[in-house]
Amino acid sequence: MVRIKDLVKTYQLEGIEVRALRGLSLTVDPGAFIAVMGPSGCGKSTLLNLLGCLDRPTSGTLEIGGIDVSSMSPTDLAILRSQKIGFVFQTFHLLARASAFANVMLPFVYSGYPSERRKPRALELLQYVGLQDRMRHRPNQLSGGQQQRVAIARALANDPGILLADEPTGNLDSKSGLEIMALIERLNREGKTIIMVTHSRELAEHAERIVHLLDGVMIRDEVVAERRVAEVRPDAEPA
Amino acid sequence: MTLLEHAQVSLEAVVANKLRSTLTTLGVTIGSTAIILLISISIGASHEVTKLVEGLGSNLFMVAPGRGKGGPLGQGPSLLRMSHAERIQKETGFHVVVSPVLNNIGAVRYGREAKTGVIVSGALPNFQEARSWRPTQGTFLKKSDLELTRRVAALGKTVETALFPSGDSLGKEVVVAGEKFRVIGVMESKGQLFDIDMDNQIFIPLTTAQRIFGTSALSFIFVAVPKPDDIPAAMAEAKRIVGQTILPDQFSVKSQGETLETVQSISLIFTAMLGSIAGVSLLVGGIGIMNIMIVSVTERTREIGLRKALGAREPDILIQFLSEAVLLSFMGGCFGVTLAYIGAIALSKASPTFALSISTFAVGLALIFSVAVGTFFGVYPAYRAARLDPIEALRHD
Repeated sequence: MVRIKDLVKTYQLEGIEVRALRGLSLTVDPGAFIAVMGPSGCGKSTLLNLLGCLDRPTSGTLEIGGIDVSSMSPTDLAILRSQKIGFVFQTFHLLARASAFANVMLPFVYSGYPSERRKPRALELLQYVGLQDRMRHRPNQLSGGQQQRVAIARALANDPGILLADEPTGNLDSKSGLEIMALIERLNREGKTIIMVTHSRELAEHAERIVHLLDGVMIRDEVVAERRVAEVRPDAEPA
Repeated sequence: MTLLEHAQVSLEAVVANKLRSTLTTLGVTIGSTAIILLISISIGASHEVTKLVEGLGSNLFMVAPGRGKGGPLGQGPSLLRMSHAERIQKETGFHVVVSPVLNNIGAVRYGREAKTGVIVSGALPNFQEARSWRPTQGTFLKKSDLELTRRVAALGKTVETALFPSGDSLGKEVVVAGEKFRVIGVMESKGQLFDIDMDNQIFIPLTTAQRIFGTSALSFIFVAVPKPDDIPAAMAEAKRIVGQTILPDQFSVKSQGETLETVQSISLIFTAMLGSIAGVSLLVGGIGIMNIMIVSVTERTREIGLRKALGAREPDILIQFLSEAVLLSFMGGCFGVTLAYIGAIALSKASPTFALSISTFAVGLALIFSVAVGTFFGVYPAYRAARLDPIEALRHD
């Protein structure tokens, strides 16, 4: 459960005060799949950063899983990030010199995951995203879609309840993009809360709800009448 | 995160950039090699000198003309006389061996060969005991040689080698100050003391020396005391006795121990100086590490952002980069130790007389220093990395 109330975020940009969020309220039920849309500068990245505990709000409350995180210390926020939140980025952010396997292992050191269970867990996750044959490959030996799947496996490492996806298909061709969407849909079916930021109406319609932002406020909360479903099912035949 | 995990992450980063890591450690490598070699050389030299000075006898002191100015050759007019030596022998409460000498510098000739700059030392038979310096061939001066002011000589090793390359000097006649002297013995080698070749010396009877040099003065009065502990008391006695007849600034009483202390304090200063010069190069190496670490932090800004997004806390990032810097500098230190050993072997091969042994103290010092340098110069880049804003860092390109 994510509960946002009167969330305000302002920051200084070269001396000018920028009001990125101006009193946003939003509730996301556990297991929900919502998309956040809006033009550049509408505050959707700021929202995602706050949801990801990478930043603290100027005012208002932000509750994640019943805990008010708006005034937590940076260290506590780091611990929360490692346990409750998985990030999926547009540009994947894989460590270039590390193998797919090592990339998936990365979050374990920060969460204190029991060391004897790390390797089996990483294997399991790579299997889940269909990359068991590519474990030893480095990011530059993988296609974009495969890299994003490694990143998703990494996001799932500590079994977080919430997955934050920032334009997850933005750097992919449409076929790979659909495969990633299918994977995200599957994770949602299996109980993960998904919050996805996107520009694309088409992609947003995979979610059950679309939150439209403009100038730091919500202008529309839309329930998707006819949800799109990614055609390629990852449990059928991974590419 | 455990320490082992931190070490692993750092090692991976260092190994991932093999060439850069090696080049980065180079400064520290050279610095610690320099520290180890210079300190080892300096310590070795000071040991050598200490051994030499101690070889002269730790139970010895001497009365020299002039206050503190009487160099080994006794410059300036000396007011020391036989009577002083006799009174020290008689009046000192300890069983001392009093051995006065009269030194002069001259040439020694044999046939067409000549050795110049030789210390011609007029001595008594007890010189052997006082300085524990004995002949290896033949005999030293005898009592009768003095009584009869004979023209006999015991040669130092350098003089013997120069004039008698085949080593058959005994019984031959050498010319000193225009007079012929029969060689009765060859002395054991004492080597160099500071810049003076102790073996470039010949010994003739003191009475003969006083006659041919036309003086009754003495250059030094050596006094050997049975127990080294008695030296201070015996020195005070000697000072009092000599002081009864000549002014205090016309003579001085010095012990080998004092000389030794001077030598040791000089060599300590020398060691410290060489060490600090080498330390500067280590410092430069540290700056090199800091430079590369800053570059590395900038290059890996996105990685830092990602690690933070994945749950890394500020201390995790700080330790990661700090331990990377320490690892680099410690590696440099280890390379330096290896290089120093190789250097020592090479030096010993190049000049076999110069047996350089690496001092464990220097090795320890170099390793501690290299780690300290890595820590010191690693803190700033690591702090910068730890303080990066994760949002900014993830957006960095």
